[in-house]
Amino acid sequence: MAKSLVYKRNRPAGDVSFNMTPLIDCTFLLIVFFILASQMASKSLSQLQLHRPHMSQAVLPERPPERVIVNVVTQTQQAEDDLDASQTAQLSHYEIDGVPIDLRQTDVLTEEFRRRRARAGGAEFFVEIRADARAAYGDVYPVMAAAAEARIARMNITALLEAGQ
Amino acid sequence: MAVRRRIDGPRQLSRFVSVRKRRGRGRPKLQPPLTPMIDVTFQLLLFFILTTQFRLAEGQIPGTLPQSETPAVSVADIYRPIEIHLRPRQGAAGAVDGVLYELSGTGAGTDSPERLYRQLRERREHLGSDQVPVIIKGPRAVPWRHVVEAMNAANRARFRRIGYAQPAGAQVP
Repeated sequence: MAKSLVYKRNRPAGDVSFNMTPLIDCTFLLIVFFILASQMASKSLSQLQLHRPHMSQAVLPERPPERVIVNVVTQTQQAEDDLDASQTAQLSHYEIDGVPIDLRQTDVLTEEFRRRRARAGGAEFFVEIRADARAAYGDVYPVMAAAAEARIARMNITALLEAGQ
Repeated sequence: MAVRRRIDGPRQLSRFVSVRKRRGRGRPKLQPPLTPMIDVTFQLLLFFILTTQFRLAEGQIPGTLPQSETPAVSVADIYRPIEIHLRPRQGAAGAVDGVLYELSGTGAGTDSPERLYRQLRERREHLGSDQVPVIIKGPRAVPWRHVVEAMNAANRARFRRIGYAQPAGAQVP
């Protein structure tokens, strides 16, 4: 007569475990993603409070153009809502790819624009101005004038997209 | 004589396994405890999730750079440029209270970007061309956000040549 396996005495309980290796792999991938994404994003795009215009006409470019991004950084750390709509914040410096440029060194700006335009070759070249919403117009204008001096014809102003886009 | 040996770890009861069967089994796997490593990994992940700041979506508004010779456009146009003047508005006790957008050829300015857009759109429809140059002018101390609003309104009204005039006192190379 065959012995029943169900009622077999002293049958040890099976070990229940699952393979954690894929879980750890995914977790490490997520960590690496967060580390790299934060580093790449902060290099050329400073933390600024950009303005969201009424019915914003800002659009995402279809493909990344040949461009130089100039950040106009102000000194204040206050939130935008704390400042009156007419108040301006004092300019701290200009910044290209994380390299600060003193606000009096507009000739350095011009030279940098010329160098990058030459490096772009014949491709259409843009100057992209990312200015804090609280910066004064008179502090942003030298960037435009330096770009015009470097014979750059095209310019883009960075603004926030319309909410919901 | 049968020999009882402990084969598969402390949980297993000692039982007899023949030599032939033992030959067929592989060596027991050695695995370091993974629990502390997983704990630290999840802590790292939680740290990065909480400290990561995601940016708001940014876009581009196209514009025209001012020419070094004159603040207006460098080519002779058949169209007279439309000027948008940004005038600081005086509030109580002479304090600056906002900005007025004043379109050349109109009367009083407006503090509403929507109204500025409507004025620009009417002007464009009246002139029948989107190649009319639009020049944004303002004093040095006007906040940049108002300049962006004026430029945005001109863009929204489908003007294609939007430029800037040099503000008084601005440093140029």
